[in-house]
Amino acid sequence: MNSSLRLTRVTYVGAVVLLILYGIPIVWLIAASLKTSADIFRGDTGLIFTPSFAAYQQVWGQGLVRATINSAIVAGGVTVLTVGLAVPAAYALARLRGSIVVISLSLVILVQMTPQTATVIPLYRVLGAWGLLSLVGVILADTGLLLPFCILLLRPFFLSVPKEVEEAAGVDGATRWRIFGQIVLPLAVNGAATAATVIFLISWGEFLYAISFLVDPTQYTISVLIASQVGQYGIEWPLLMAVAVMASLPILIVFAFTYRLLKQGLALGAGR
Amino acid sequence: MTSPVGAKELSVDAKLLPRPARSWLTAWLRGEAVFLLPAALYLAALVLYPFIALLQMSVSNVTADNIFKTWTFVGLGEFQTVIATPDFREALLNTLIYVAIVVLIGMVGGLFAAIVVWEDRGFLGFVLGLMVFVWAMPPIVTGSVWKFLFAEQGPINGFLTPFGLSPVLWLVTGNLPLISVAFVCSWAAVPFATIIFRAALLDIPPELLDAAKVDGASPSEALWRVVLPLLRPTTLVLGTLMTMYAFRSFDYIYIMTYGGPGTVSTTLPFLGYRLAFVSFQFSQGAATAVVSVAIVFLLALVYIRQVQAE
Repeated sequence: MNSSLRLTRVTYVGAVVLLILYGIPIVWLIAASLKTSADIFRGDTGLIFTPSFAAYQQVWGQGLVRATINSAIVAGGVTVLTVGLAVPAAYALARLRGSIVVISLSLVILVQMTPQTATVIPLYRVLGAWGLLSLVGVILADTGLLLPFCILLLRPFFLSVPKEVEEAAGVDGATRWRIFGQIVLPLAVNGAATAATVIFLISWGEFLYAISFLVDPTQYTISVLIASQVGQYGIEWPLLMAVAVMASLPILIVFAFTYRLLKQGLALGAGR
Repeated sequence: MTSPVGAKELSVDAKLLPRPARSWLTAWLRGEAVFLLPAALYLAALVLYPFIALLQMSVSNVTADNIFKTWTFVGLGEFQTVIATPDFREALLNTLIYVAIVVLIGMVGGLFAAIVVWEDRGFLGFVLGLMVFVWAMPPIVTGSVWKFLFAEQGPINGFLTPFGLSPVLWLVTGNLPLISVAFVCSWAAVPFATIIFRAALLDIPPELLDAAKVDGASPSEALWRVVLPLLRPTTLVLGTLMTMYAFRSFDYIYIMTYGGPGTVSTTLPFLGYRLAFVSFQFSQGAATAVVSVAIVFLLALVYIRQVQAE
């Protein structure tokens, strides 16, 4: 391995620094959610205290369940729609040759680079005119945002499926749709799973479209609920942190099951 | 121009379809290109069409009163109005500072972390896992946590006071808010950079490092002379991704400072959002957004030129 660079002591000091930088915010996220507003008001932000679940009880009655369901609807809808549209597109862009690929890929990359703050303004008008300033509108907008990214992430997986497999099936008289469904798709399942995971994680916490398009408080997603805890008259930190913890739990579950996929898939997608 | 469908595929198609293809279009649609259609139509409706609406909005007079009605053309007046404001110039400068901090800390931190967790076994593997988990958390969540850590009576000041230091108003005083938010934004970007750099490190043939060692290079020499030059292409790609990421940053600014106090931490994209959704000057917001998009596309052009030159 990289024996010549094994700076054991330096490496471990570095790892401890990283552990502090990334561990401490998580520790305080959980700690602050278990305090009372009185603790925080007194300036008691230490880690030794009697935990209280008051904040969780309070946010439970303040739309937390509703917001969690809404976020799940958005994340689920966006994942299905995005991966469903991106899989065939990425397949086509891996198989086609010539200028159509260059033009399509350039357009996809340009779309992906457009800042979301620029797309949110006209989308407000467009979705509003269609009567879609709702969870449906957020799902449609998120899909438009993530589709280019998903296509770019999936294309390498289809490039790695050998073309000969398909040609053999074509000679045997299989239609293009059968070749795609029964031969190519199963070989690209790993890539689709990676893409679906990343899309789910991003759309679960998506904020800009949600805060701009959701007008009905019963449709608030969990990220909007968090932002709404930051009021004009100071912040109820324990409540804010309790919602933040609940927003992170599904991420932790998805993460636990897909960490290996994420680690490999992200590197592949960005290596384009 | 080469034909979009290769000769080989055409022969396969001929087997599938007894009738000869009538035109290039039908032949084209019977090939793989048809798989592009759903995504292309979707992007046309939800990205291209809104983008045209953005351009139209920037040269019209749109406020909260007529956003859902018809717009009247006013020319480039809104651009002139916006660019002449002090807010715009401040936002432009803020964006420059913000992007510079995020790219610098993000890249250097990512490279540092990638070297640390090069071999991800045991404790090192746990640290890498923790970082990737933090990356996966919603920015609104991590932004809220840092807002708490930076609060006047928050843990960071709680740590400083026993040493006789007075509390720092991280999100209020002078230019600190912009720097604090940029720090958090780069903190959140480091795990991604780590994964990308680490993948590039794992691609380096071990023989190369062994050879350096045999030649008597110290670890730091091997790092400077062997590893870093090999990471050049990765650094270029990642640098571009990071610049775009920093430029479009929204969630951290929104939750931590809302661009304030005043416009101290307002970047150009955030200014566009504020003009549209807080002041309801949709055309001014659109004009600012068009300038943002132009900057991003210009950066993309520079990047593509550079890649081609390599």
